Amino acid sequence: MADARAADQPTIVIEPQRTAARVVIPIGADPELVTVSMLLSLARERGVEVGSKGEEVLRRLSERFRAERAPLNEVFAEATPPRHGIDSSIEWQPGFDPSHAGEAAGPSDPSSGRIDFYARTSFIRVHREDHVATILPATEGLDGRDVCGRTLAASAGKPLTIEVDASLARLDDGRVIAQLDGQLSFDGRRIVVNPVLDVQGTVDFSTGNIAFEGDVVIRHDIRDRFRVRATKSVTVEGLVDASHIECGGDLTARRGVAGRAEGTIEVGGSAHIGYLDEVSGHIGKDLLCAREIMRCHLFVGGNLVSDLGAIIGGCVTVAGDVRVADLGSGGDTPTELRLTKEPDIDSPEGKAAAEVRALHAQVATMEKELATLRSSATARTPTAAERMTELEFEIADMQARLKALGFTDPAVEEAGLAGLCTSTLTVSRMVHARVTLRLGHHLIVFNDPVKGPIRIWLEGTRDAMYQLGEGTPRSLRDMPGVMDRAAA
Amino acid sequence: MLVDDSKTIRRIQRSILEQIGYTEIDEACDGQDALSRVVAFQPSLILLDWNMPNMDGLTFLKTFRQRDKATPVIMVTTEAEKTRVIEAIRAGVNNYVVKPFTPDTLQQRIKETLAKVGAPQ
Repeated sequence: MADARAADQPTIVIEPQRTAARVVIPIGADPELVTVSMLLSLARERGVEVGSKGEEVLRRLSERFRAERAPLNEVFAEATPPRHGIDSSIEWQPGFDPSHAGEAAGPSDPSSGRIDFYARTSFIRVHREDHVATILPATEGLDGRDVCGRTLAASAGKPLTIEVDASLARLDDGRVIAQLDGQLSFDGRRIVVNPVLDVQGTVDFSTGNIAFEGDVVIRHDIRDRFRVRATKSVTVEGLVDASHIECGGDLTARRGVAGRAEGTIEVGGSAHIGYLDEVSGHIGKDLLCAREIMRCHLFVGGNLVSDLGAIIGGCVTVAGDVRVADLGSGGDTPTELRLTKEPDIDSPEGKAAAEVRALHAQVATMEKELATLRSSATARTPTAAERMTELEFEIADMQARLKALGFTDPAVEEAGLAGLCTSTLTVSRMVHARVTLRLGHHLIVFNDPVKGPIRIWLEGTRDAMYQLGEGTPRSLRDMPGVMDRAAA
Repeated sequence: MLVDDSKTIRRIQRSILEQIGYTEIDEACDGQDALSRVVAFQPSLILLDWNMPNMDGLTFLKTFRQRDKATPVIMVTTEAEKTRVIEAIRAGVNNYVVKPFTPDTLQQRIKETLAKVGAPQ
């Protein structure tokens, strides 16, 4: 009897871990006795913490039981789970996530749908003052409570040990700001901006063209038609195919450049190259070439040194000295070498040259107009007379200025400026036939080969001289097999 | 004093005069303008155009010579016919330059004129 009565009594069941509390009301329970107070009392006896919500649930359950007289097994209280803290993390700004570098192909042409795979980027480029990321701090977490009122402890978020290199600044608000231009990298622990772009492989469709503000090192090759541009130096450890290199500093390509008539180099500094084949371009300072310079069209602002190499074919212009083993080839390849101090446009000489040329051009134009007016039927009209007087005056004025500059004759002026050449050509082995040498205003054609060592230079502004070995310097006009056409 | 309706010619003449040492140079754009200025300015030399609006050079010259026979005047004009030259000489011009002229020609005429009248050059 007592057991039967106990079986008819409402009970409180607490879920494992005290995550919830249930009320179980059997069908045999006396509805008059199943009141809110009774259920509350039961719950409290079991140690359940019942708040207003739980009380409300018990009220509804008791009313439902009294109305329906059906057994009930319902949750009336639930634990509040703990809210654990969030670990510290890095939030990358758009475009700066290093893990996404190289994912996108290049831009596409909306009209044709073509994608420019040369133009993809495989590295993250940053500029000084760029906001690259924000380091979000770890949060503390909020404790929970089980149904019996016990604390469910929350764990705090873990701090992130991130090193921010000196190339970046980490502000108090967590922002990470680049302090210099370069390539962004993150190895999971350290964020770095590297002023040197290190391309581990070959510059090809996997990397796209390279444009970098800083130095670039390419561990392998540069493939056809790709562009590498750097504000500073470029170093290529492999071979350079028919590509385009532009750098503000030095270019080093010790394995050589095989331009195949399409490759170009634009170097602000000096170039250290294994060999050059069918390449065109400019080198601001010196060119040091280990082997041949073949069929190239180059301008070298400094010296050209290829002690074991040769200049074969093409046309090379050098502002400084030239030192090579061979000029031309045994196959009599037409080769042109120009030694001329082309004045820098911003130098005093360059400005004077530009002014002289402009004045001559203006004088020529005005003289032509004057001649036309003189021969014209309207020569005696006041307007024509006025214009002719004006032209006479302007021409006289310009000629006075040319006289002051020392150049009254265009031919003399060209020769004089061209004769600024102070370069020396030294060929240790052979100057071959069909070599043309422009030395200042001298045009020297080698009809026959000349065995070296030979040194050629301009004496003052007029005489082209040569010296064979340690012999007596002589005028180049006296060299057999060589034709010197001065001021050609 | 430069008397010419062309600013360009006056500019050129001024430049030429400055090259030979003249520093105080006045300008007039026609004969009427020149008459109003000449008394106050008291030039030591006048370069005078012939064909000008308001008052041409010959009329100015005749008027000017009524009160001043000494100041040298050089006519600088496109009028090259002999009759015109004689007319100008009769009116009192000291020398004659036909436009177009070169700077050297004008300078030479000025020096000749000043030498003839005994004026400082």
